[in-house]
Amino acid sequence: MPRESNGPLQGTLDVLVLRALALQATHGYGVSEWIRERTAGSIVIEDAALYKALHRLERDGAVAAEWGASENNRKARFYRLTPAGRRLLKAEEAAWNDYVAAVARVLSAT
Amino acid sequence: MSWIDGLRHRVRTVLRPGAYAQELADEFSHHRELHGAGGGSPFGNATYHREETRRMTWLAWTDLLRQDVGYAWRSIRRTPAVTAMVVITLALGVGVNGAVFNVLDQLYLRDPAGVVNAGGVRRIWTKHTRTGGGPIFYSRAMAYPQYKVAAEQWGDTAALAVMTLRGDFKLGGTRAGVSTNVLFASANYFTLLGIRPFKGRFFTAAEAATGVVTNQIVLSHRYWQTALAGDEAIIGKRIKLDTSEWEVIGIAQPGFDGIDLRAEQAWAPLGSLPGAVSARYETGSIWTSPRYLSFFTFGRLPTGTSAVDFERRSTAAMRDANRQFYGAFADTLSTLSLGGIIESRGPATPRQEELIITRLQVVALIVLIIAVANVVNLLLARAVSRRREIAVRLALGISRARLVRLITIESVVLAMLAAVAALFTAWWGGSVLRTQLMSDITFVQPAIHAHVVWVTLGVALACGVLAGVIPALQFSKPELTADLKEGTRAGGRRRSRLRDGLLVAQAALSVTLLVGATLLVRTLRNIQSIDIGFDTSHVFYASAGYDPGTAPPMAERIARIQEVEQRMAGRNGVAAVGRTALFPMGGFSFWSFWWGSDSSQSLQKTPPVGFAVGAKFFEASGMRVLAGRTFDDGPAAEGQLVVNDALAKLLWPGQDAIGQCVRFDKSTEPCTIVTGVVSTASRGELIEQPQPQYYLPIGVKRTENMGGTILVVRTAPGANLAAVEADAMALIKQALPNSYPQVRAMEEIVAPKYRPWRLGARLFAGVGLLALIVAVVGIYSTVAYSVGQRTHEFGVRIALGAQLRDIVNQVVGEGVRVVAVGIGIGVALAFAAGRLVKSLLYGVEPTDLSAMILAAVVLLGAAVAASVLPAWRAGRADPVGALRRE
Repeated sequence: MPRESNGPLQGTLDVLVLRALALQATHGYGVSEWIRERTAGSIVIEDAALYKALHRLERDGAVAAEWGASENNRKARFYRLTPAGRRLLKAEEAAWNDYVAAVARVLSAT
Repeated sequence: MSWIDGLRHRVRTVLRPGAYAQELADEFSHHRELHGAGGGSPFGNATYHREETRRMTWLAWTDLLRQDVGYAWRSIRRTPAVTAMVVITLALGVGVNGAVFNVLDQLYLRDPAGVVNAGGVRRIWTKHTRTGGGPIFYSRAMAYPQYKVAAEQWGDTAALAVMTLRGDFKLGGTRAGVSTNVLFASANYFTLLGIRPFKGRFFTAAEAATGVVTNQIVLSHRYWQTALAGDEAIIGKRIKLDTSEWEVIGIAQPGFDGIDLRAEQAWAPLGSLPGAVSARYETGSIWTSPRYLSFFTFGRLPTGTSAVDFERRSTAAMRDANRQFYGAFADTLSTLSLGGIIESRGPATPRQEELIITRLQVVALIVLIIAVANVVNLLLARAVSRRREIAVRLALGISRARLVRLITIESVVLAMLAAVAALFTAWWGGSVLRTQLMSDITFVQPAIHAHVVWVTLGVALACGVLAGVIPALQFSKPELTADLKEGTRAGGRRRSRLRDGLLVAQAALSVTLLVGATLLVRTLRNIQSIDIGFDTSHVFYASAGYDPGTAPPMAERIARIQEVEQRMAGRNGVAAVGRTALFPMGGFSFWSFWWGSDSSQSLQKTPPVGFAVGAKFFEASGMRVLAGRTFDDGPAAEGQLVVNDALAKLLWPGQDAIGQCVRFDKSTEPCTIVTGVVSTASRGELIEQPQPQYYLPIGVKRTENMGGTILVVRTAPGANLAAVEADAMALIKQALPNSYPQVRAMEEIVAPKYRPWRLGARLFAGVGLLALIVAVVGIYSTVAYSVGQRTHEFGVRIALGAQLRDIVNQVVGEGVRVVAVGIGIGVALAFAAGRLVKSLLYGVEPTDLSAMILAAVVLLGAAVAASVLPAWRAGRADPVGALRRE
């Protein structure tokens, strides 16, 4: 089975998607909007990459999806976090914070 | 649970790829709509992104699999000859195993259907060791008083069931009615097995008690459906079995046919056993006589009783009881032991059919190994010719894992093709084995059922993987530059040690099987040359059957048949005609007698047995009168007796038997005088020590109740057998108008005795031949490929002056050398494995040297023959072409 590399960039995307879904179940567009708003537009996720991430997370059982009605009353695929997804988010958050702290220490070194 | 959600998603995408694609498109278009309203980045190439997203699911994997299978299929179709060879070899190898397993499964692995917790059911066996030193044998049969003794030791009588089988009742009371086996059982029979009624009820303990006759009956679901057309209102109705009526009180749960290999059709309360009330034996009724050895038991050990403990206690108790039952002639060394519900698993010594089938499974596995070795060899050979293609793929960056998978999938696809063919082989072979080898077993399952299908598919799959992985691993690590440059031409440069090894293994196993086949064929020949003392070729037996309850009294039947005998005697084509009470080798009687001051009961080791026959029986059946004369015909024969050679030597060693006095029953009875000594004929088996036997005349007081209504007719040389048989039947019909005359040739009567031997020889010879063919194909293909790869080498040698003979000698020599090593190993194997087939042999040792030599020579000859053709082709290599390519 083809595996995507789990480098920091993909990790970033995953942790952002998981974080977005941790608040409420929403569809792909909702996730993308949430991230854009939260980062004031400084992180814009490519739509294709977003869906790749969502479907990969679904394959791995971190999120589950079902069809529901969206705000414009259209059929939309809603993603929600599974317990495994919650655990994954926690782990990824911790790893990310470690990483940021490490980078910060390097940059602030004199 | 999240992983289940994930799995469901994964499985759904794979199972319904179309639905997944549609959903993905919907999702994207929904996104695009929202996006149009809110602004932001557009999708770009949506199709590409959809593909990319799709790769995130299991579909990526199935896509690859589909690609690989497609590739495998194309490459399989490119080489039809190899494909056919592989498929046929595997189909035979796997199919033979499926066929044998089919029977093995029924005998050894299958708990009787419907039984709850079958593992806890115990059958009681008796190991008989005749005090006088006769043969040891196991039996489940006991007399009712013996059951009582066992039940007392069991601890809980309710946990031990007792039963007896009466076979072949005719439904409706006519001769043509459905044959019905009825088991007469105690009421706990059903509760101990956990069987429930499908309709109605089972009988109660009170209804099944001995001495109570209720004539109630419980039918099997199958019997109800087939023989009684599933009559919904059957409960409470009466059915007629032979001459008596039975009230149907219940139908057992579907699928339950009893716990024995021969299916039962109905169950009735023990006390209703026909004849139980009226019949009297010299020692009492059925329930009190220790001589009526017809009851079987099984049960569940009560908690707190261990099997070993029961066996020890019951053996002691039974020996004590037997001393009371049988007096001085009790078998005081017999022991009781417990066996499981599957009867074939023992503790009884296996029947010959069981020996054959278990040995055959081993042999079938050997054939499978040979077949797989052959397939690996063929695929290896093909991989050689594809070395360049593989090198190109590797150079283009295919991963080794993917390549191994690719090649393995190819052989798995081949194996699956073979599996389909193997299922047919297994089905056909299984049916043949069932009817030929195990004709006395009721097979409830169809010849191909779930167990067999799974085993066949599983074995085929395993073979496919094995046969693919080995060549794949070997060839996915080539020397890239060399292979790209030279391709197939360099194939033979390094002779594959693996392929030689496989060839050696094939040859070795084939020789072992051929030795086995030779031994069994020789055994059959020895068996067939045993003189059973009866003439088998020009003799037939004629008898009369009746609808149940319509037979005239015995005395009248004997008188009528005697008239037929007299009329037959003068007929055209009849050389001799006589009468007998029993079919030859089909049973005997005991009468105790005294000679001098000794009793026949002291001859426990070889108890003399008796027969009631007419005066002309000896001449007609083909027995020879060695001394004296036969007894007179009719009442004049009172007080006369004929003994056979074995009995004469046993009773009066070194003396003349003629005129000796024998007193039946008591030493005070009047003399019965020996008038003649006849040759010793087989008592019941093909292989037996000469058994002491004596013959009493039909028509004297002592044989009054023995019958004597079977005609034995020997036809004159050149007579039309069918015409004489028809004549005999017509005469019987005339004399006994309400009878159904029937004839059986002596050959037909003894055929069942030869059948296991004949079948064993045939099966082993067939499998040996199969192994030989497979091995020859293996040798041929190996040599042919090796030669094909080396045309260049041979071309050069021919250009340098080598003759055709030199090349042929070289190639054949190379092939034969490898095979010779295999033959050596095979002969050693045959020596070692001899013990395995010893019990199937007669008159030949498992280490018989001539069998080994024969097998070795046959395989060696086959190896030479298989390598001559490719060798000759090598010798014709074109030197010009070979040098030009240099």
